[in-house]
Amino acid sequence: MTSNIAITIDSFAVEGNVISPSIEMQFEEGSIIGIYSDVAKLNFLTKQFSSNPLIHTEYRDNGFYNRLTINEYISFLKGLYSPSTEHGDLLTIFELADKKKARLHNLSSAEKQRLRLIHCFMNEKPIQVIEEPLQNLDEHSKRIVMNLLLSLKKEQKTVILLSNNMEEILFASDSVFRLEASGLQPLDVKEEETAALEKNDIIPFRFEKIPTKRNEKIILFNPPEIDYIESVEGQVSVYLSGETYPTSLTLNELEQKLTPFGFFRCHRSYIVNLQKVREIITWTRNSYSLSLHTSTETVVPLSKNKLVELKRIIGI
Amino acid sequence: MNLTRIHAIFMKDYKEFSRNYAVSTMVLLPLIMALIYNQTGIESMQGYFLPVNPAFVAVTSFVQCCLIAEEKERNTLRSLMLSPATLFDILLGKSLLVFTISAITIILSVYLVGYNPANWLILGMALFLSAVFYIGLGTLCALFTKTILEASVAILPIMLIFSFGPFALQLSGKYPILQIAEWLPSAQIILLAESIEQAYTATDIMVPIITILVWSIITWFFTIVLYKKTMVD
Repeated sequence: MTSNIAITIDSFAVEGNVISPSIEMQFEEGSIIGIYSDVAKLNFLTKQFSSNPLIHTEYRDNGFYNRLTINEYISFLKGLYSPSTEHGDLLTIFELADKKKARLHNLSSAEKQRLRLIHCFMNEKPIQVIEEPLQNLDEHSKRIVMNLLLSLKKEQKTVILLSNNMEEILFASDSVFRLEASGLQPLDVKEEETAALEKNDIIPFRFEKIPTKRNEKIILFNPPEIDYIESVEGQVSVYLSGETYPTSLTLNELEQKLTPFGFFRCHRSYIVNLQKVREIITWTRNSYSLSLHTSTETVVPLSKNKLVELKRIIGI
Repeated sequence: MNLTRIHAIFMKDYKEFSRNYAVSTMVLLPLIMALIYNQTGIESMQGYFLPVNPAFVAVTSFVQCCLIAEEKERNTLRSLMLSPATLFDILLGKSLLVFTISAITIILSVYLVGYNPANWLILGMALFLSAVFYIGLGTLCALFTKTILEASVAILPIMLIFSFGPFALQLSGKYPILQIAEWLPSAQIILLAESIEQAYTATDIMVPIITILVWSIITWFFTIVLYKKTMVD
């Protein structure tokens, strides 16, 4: 059974500039929601969340009692929160079982960041807000954090992830919102609707280069040069060896143009050059990413329903 | 108020305190002072309290202040406040630990300095009330400090006023204004200790005890009001 929890947050303005609009949110129980925005809005949002009695907020800079061992820390939290449900062996799902006697100041920063989430397991509040859960984590730790988030979801807790990194929340959450001055916008629903309409269009002449605009200049790129293409709020950007070039074409037009060149629509808002894909990363059974082999290390989200198609193209 | 939470905070702070040598070695200060004064010989009641009054500041107030300041320094106080533990649970858990540490330190230093009071019960009561006052003072001090470093600086004026205040009385012949130091809790406890060694009346006992009690009530009142004000936001 799922039920909805509603939250209202008043708007916040500084000298007439709306920093954050008033928001009304309806959250399903047991789902992971991502909210993408800039740091100022997110800071305001976390402050509002933390004053709500239904919400537990896990800040990114929450500290530790460095002189305690992990075991002592957990028994302290158990005393503090007195959780009614037994979580089995928390250390195993945190993958810290071999470190239970280690003092907290001896842990690596990735391990500390993982351990931070233990607060979300201990408290009983229905909504858990976590600020930047995946920031600066290596792949192994990201996978553990993803599993932790899924076990929170299994406990019928609503998890809200706040991040200013779109890629991270796209693969971690069930639904993603974008906080703008105009309000909380669900991401990319519009894009999907138009996709069905434009499917049957036939383009008589194929102009192969991709026009982009930068500094008032129009630059044309050969498709094989492109790493991937991202659409954020209707603005389509072409990524090419770490540089971004905005283009006026829509993602659907680009998809049609580029499919013959070995490009693949791996996500509602991403098209990736398959020639540059180095690795398919499996976070959990439902979330995947593509790691690109480019000058900088880039990771592009891969939706679950596109995976089947991709496997067919690759031939596995 | 929840005993499990208070116990959890007590145990956590005990472990943190015992492993933080910068703070925990402070308990040695009054003990060493007591040993030295014992060797040099003591002729007045003022002398017996030479290790006791600094112990109240250097151990009781300082440790309490450091425990809270360190939570602020590491951003752990915020998550503690967001947990089900109330402000009262947090302060009580810490205060109980500090009280235990101070009680052991002060009993040991009284023993080491060679002081044998005529009436343990009355002196014990005054020492207990003083401990309550100095814990409150440490808590109040932590409100204005954000790191252990700041706490060690902030403790200095308190040390000067409360530990060495009774010495100002000796200058009061020359500067009558210093007579006011008589009403410090550290001076009152010496007056009390002096009177229990002789034939005493009820007033001799009640005045110092009530003075210390008033100091504790005022300190804790301000502490709680200010904490409620600053911790809410």
